[in-house]
This record gives sequence, C-alpha cells and structure tokens, in this order.
Amino acid sequence: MESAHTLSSVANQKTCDTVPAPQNLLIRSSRPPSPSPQATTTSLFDVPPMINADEDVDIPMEEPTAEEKQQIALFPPAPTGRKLCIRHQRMADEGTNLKLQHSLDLLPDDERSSIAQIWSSFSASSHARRDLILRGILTMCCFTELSLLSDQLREIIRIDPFTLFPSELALRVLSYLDAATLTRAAQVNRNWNRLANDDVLWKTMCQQHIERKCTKCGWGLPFLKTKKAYPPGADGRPAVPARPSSFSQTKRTIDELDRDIYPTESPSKRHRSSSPEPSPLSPLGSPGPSGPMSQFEAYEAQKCVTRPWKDVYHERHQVESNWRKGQYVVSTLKGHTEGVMCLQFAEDLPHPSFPVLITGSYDRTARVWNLETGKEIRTLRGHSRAIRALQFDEAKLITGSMDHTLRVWNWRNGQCVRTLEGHTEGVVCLQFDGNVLASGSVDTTVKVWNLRTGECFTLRGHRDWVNAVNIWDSKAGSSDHIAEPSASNQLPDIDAGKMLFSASDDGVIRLWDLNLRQCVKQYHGHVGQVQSIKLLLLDEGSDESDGTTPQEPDYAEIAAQFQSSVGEGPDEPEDLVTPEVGTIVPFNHPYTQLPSGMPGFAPVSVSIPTVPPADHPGFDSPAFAPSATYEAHDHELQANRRLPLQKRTGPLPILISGSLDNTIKVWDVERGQCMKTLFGHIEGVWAVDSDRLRLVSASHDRTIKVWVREQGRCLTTLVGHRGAVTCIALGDDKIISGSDDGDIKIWSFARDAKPILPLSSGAVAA
Amino acid sequence: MSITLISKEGAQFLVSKPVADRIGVVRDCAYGADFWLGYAVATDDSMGITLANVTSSILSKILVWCEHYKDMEPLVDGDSNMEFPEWDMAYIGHDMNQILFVLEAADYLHIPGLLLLACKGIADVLDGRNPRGICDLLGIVMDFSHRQEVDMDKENGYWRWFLHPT
Repeated sequence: MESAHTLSSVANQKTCDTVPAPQNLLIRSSRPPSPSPQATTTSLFDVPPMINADEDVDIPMEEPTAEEKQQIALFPPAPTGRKLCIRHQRMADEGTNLKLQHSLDLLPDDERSSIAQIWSSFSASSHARRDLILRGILTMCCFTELSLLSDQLREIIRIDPFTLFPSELALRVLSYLDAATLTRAAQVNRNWNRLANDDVLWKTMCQQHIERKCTKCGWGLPFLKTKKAYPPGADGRPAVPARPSSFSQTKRTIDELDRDIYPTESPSKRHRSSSPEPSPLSPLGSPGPSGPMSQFEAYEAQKCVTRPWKDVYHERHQVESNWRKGQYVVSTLKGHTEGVMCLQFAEDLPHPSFPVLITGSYDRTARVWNLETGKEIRTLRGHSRAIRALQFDEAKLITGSMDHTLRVWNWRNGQCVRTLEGHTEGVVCLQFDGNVLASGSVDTTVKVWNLRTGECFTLRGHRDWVNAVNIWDSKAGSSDHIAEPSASNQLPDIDAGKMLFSASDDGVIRLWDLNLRQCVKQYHGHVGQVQSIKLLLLDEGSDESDGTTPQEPDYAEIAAQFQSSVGEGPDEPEDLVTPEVGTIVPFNHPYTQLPSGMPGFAPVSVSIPTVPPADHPGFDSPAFAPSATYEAHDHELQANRRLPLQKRTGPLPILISGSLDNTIKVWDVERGQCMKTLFGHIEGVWAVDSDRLRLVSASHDRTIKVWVREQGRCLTTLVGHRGAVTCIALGDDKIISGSDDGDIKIWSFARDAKPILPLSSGAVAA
Repeated sequence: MSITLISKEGAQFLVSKPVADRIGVVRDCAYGADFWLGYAVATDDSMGITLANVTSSILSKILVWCEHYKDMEPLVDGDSNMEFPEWDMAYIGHDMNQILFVLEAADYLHIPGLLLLACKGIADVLDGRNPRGICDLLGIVMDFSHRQEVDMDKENGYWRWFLHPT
C-alpha cells in the first residue's frame, strides 16, 4: 500500500474554516527534506495541528468583529468559497444549525447573548485553547450532561470513510468483503456504488470462486464457458482444439472465459466496461463507412465489448444458486427403444456449432443428438448386441459392446472406421486418452490398446466383470514428466506414470501401472459390485488436500483394509502379469526372468504397498523416497510400487466410486484409504460423476442425487426417471442421465433454462 | 538506542529502536537524515520526533502493534483471502471510529501492515450489513434517485438470497 501520501494530498481540502486555520506551524523536529507527510496536514474530524506547548506562541489570526464572530459561531453553513471539514460540510447539509438557532430564539435576550458569547469565544480560539476549554467544560459536567454528550457524540462522530480516504484505501477495504456485502455496499450511495462495482474487485472475486471452492465462504461457481460465436463466414476455429468436457482434467482459468459481448445480448444493459483492451469486434480498425456516426458507433462498440466481471460473477452465482436450491428445468429425449447404458456430451467442440450428446443403448445403436434442439442427428448401427460403453472426442467415437468388440467410428458421418477384437466376452467399459485405450470386459480382464499401432496387452487380476476403467496420468503436470528415451524405445506410446484404475463386480478397485503392467494397489471397502469410478484431481490447498488423516476416520474399516491388503497378498498370484502370447513382452522385465519369491526380488504380491505411518522411523529416510524420475525398467520394484507419497506437488488425486452396495465412496488415491462414504441411495448406484464443485450419482432406485462432496451431504434428489438410472454426465450447469426405460433426461440448472423440446415434459421446479 | 515520540498533546513515548522502526515516518526521520545530510539525527537518546497528527491514545494503541511486530514481519501485501492472525483481529476490534483513527494514523505514519489490518477491520465491521445498516453506521445519506434505486434493486436483487444460503 503506497497510499501514504495520497491522504495528505486530499487533506488540505479538508481544512475547516469554522476556525481560522493556524498558520506557520512550529513543529519541533528536525525533519529532513524527505517526502514524509506534511506536518500541516489536517486529520480526521478537523483536528488542528499541534502547537508547541512549551513555547507559548500565539498564532496570528485575524480578529473578526463580534458580529462576525456570532455569525461564524451560529451559522457555519459554508458560504461559497469557504472550506469546511467533512464534519461541518455534513452538518450544513443536515440543517443542524437551524435547529440550534430555533432553540436559542426561545430564550430571553440576555441569556441568548451570553450563550452566543460563550460560543463565539470558543469559536475564535485556537485549537489548543479549544481543547483546554472543552476539558474545563467536561470537568464541570454532571452525569446527565455527560450522557447527553455521549449520545450526541455517537451520532455526530460517524463518518463515511470513503469520502475521507482515497480510492485505493477504499478499494482495499472493499477487497476484504464477500460478494454479498459488496453487492450491498453498491447500494449505499453513488460513491460507494462506483467503488463497489470496480472491475478489479470483481475479477478477484471471480478468481476466488470460479472453478474452485472459496476457502472462506464455501461457494464455488461453475465455469460456464460460453461458446465462441464467430461472425458468419469467418473461419473461426480456435488454434487450440477444445478438450472434450467430460474428460478434461486440467484446470481451467478464468482468463479463458470469453467476456466479449455479442449482438445477442443487449449492449444497453452493459453500461460499463473498465477493461480498455480493444476487442476483435471493435470496428475501429476495420474498413467501414467513415463519418461522425460510425465513429460514435465505434466508440460505443469499444465501450461495450467486454462484460463487467460483476456480471460474469452474478451469472454464475445464479447458476450455482439453482444448483443449491434444486431449481432446474428438465427435458426428455426419446428415441432409444431399449435402456440407455452410456452417454457423453461435449459443449465446447470447435465444430459443429451446437453441443453434442452421444448415447449408447441396449437397442444396439449409438445415437448422436443435438443438445440445443433435442433432435437426433444420426444413428450408428453396426454392433450386434448392446452398446455398454462409449467415449468420443472431436475426431472419433469408440464404443464397446456386449458383442465382444470395440468399434471406432467417425461420428460426424456415421462410418465405422475400425473394429477391435480381442475380448472373449462383452465389453462393458472403456476409456481412451490420446493413443491409449483401455477396455474392461465380462471376461474379467482389462485390455490396453495402442490406437496407433493396434497392439494390445491384457491386465489380469479381477475375478469378475470389469465395470469401469479410468486412465490417470499420475505424472502429468509434474516437472519430471519427461519421456525417457530408453523407455520410449520399448514402449513407445505409454508415458511414464500412466496409471489405470479398474473397478469390478468382485468389489475391488485396482490401480495398475501401465508401464509395468501390474496391479500396484487395491482399494477394498465396497461390499457390493463396483459399477462406476471417477478420478478427480483437486487443487492443492483444497479441503481434502491438507488433511493428514481421512476426514471420516472409520478406524475399523481402515484396520480391516490394512489387514486384508497385507494378508491376502500371497494368495493372489493373479496379480502377476503373465505376458500373453502375441502381446509385447517388456524387455528385461523382472517377471520374464525371475520367478517371484527369488531372493532379492520380493514377490510382487507380498509387497502390497501399505503406507507407513508418518511417525514411522523410516518415513523420512531417503531410502523410502520414490525415485523421482520414473525408470520403467529398473529393478527397484519396491521404489516404483510406492506411489509418490511425500513432497507431492500438483493436484491431489481422489477417486470416487459407486457400488451396488448403495454407497458412494471417496478414496484417497495415494494412501489407498476410503476418506468418506456417502449414504442415501436406497438401491445400488450405477454411475457417478463429479467435478470440482459437486458429485452426482445415478441409482437403481430411479433417482439422481447431487452431493456436496466435502461434507458428504446430499443436496438435491432428482426424481423423474421411470426406470433405473444407468448412466450420468455432469456439466457446469446441467446433468444428463440415461435410464433403463430408454429415456434420456437433461436437468438444466442454467440461468434462463428452458425445456429443450416443448413437446416433451415441461418445466418442473422443485 | 531508543527514540522519543511526541504525540499531538505533547505526551512523550519512549520506544526502542526495533519498535520505532515499524513506523515508516520515524524510520525516515532517523535514517533519512543520515542519508540526506550525511549524519544521523538520532545519535543518542535525546532524539524526539513529534508526530503532530496523532493523539496520545491512538499513538499508544499503535505502539502496542509495533511492539507486537518488532521481531516479526506483519502481513504486508497480497491476497485479500489471506487471514490475519487472531491477535491482529482482536487488536483492531470492532469500533469503527477507533479503526478509522488507526487507519488514518497508519497512513500518516507509513505503517503498511497496520494500514491493511485497519482496512480489514473496517471490512469486518461492514460485513453482513445491508445498505441501510451501512448508512446508519456511518451516517451516510443515500443519494440515489428513486429510479436508480429501483434499477439497483433489480440488479443487485440477489443479495437477499445471499443472506440465507442453505
């Protein structure tokens, strides 16, 4: 805060003329000619400067005549050109003197003149004298008078600090306020309105709330990226391809927010814009009709090109309020003839211009929908049995079916590009990231495909259907994420640190290292089939990330977990990856050379990583530290098998799982412990999805629940499906769900949400 | 070494150098002279610096803060989300006028840390009040026209919802 001088600059205006301003102050300090504040600055409430006490210097002042004195004493209401301090300025506004005059008029003449005499001599005194007089009067006062004084003082000492201090200080004060108080402060008066609507303040507010939960108020606002509306004819493809929204794990920043105002919004509503940067829409540089009118229009356009941050904030706040209040508009898409099993939507694709939804169903088709109109654009036929899983990006769609195959489609024209065969039973889940595709199957295996080369290897370990897979780049974003040349020679397409979660009907979630092709961790806790998992990367400093213990320490459960994971090791030789014929055998892989149990190489299954307690003597020893750079083929399995545990940089991974045991569990990925269990569904949970702000779950009980993840509290229950809800996708302002009855429902929490099809079920507000 | 600070009323406060160093103006007086004139003004205990705009009561309050922070760095900058230590919040209190006096004195005396704390103090007093309450607290006259008020109410209507978020 470099505002120290600012005060002195305005202070001079506040010198009050109700007393003659003392001149030529004598300050006993050998003040160097440094730019320190002027000694003569007047301060709050017209405090006169210090007069040297021991040298009784009288300040020269012009003696007003008695009449003038009275005038001054009684009527300080600023004649023009007169300087008044803040207090007297306000008093003049309030007509205090008039009231005083009236009470004086009621008195007999002689009393009136004596009182006037007292006032005027007080008024004529210097500040030091005034102090003395006041002290004297105070000692004369009885309690009743003192109480009058204290009452009066409480009233008159009030002051608007924002008129007193420069804007920088006022803005600093306002920056400490929350959005609610800031909004209220804007309604105080014009000056406050100007300050409290400051764009920088609201930008900070947006930064604190959008895409993250504010640590102070607990509110987090959705990102709500608006689609770029390009002028017709212009080639408006952004240079960076948009990520499919459902799979984006990197953090979005508010700088990506598009604040340009398009013709669809009324510019008259945007009266203010404080960002001076010219917009691409501004016609200033463009060849156009020149003339005074177009110049004016250009100016207007310039003024209205960006939305104020306050507007951005409030738009999102309304959406978030809708989420919290459970206010939504639901639309239904009909078309599938049997149960919908999987879906995904993308709103920020560079092309086409509308948001796209793709669903897969037991009726053996996948359908592409326009989410704006609710129209079905295309039906993809080819699978001979139910489609159980799908994922798409801007180029391709991959579906997994009960007919044992996976198909790669060009969803824009409906062509099946490729069929992947390999599973011996139906495919129930899949996920791809770049060139790596993972699919889980009824045959209890997970296959990892290289989409570029078509190679594939198998992960064995589950004892029942594999219902969900989730790829995790555990090294993404960390500084040591460098492709190692030696590793890339042998396994060219899997980055170091690529991991895979898989959830199975056997009730276990496994974490696999795709480079080692081994299971490195198991998550025990669910007592039913695990149907769905979702990995979430939380920012550092968020609620969960600093907790050293699980937030809901279920000690019995943890103990049981601990026991089971230690105890069951040797009984589970299926942890070992048996390289399949026809798949790549990792060069020099320990298991191609050494039987497990060989001295020097602990059998993998025995050393299920259990996290040592923090007070364990070896916890901080260097030997325990996982190798910083990931060596895919070194023999130090012990080091590799421990996930990066300490000195974690980057986001905190948590895993959310939904199971047919009616619960949803939140897992600490690194410790392998269940942090929280969400109870509420009365039947099994088929699907979960989550973002930084909320968690949603779809259940066999035909409901969808919206949860506050941190508190494990159910916020809203959405009822409407006629069958079990089998799949769900969460967006910034909507949920899309598919049901066994063949319906797809869109639950929109947007600001001015309207049902997508007027023919389908109408608006329902909970 | 210690420095005598003289308040507006002429009261003398004897403070040690680390305490006085928290006050930018005093620091400037002591070292600024050294820099500009080639010698230090404060060579012995007799040095007195008059702080003409600061009353004794406020000065003594400010010196409490300086004393507390003589060995550690106060929060000086940054993020409005940063939490002040409990001691600070207890120190600044909830008396608006006192905070204003402290703020003004901190500005005058160049104490950035205290300045921020005072701003935070004011914000905390304002926190949760509605516009009418702020006006009453600070004696502000609303100067909106009726039309503006209606518009504003429409625009800022959400704040009612803010009051009772579930």
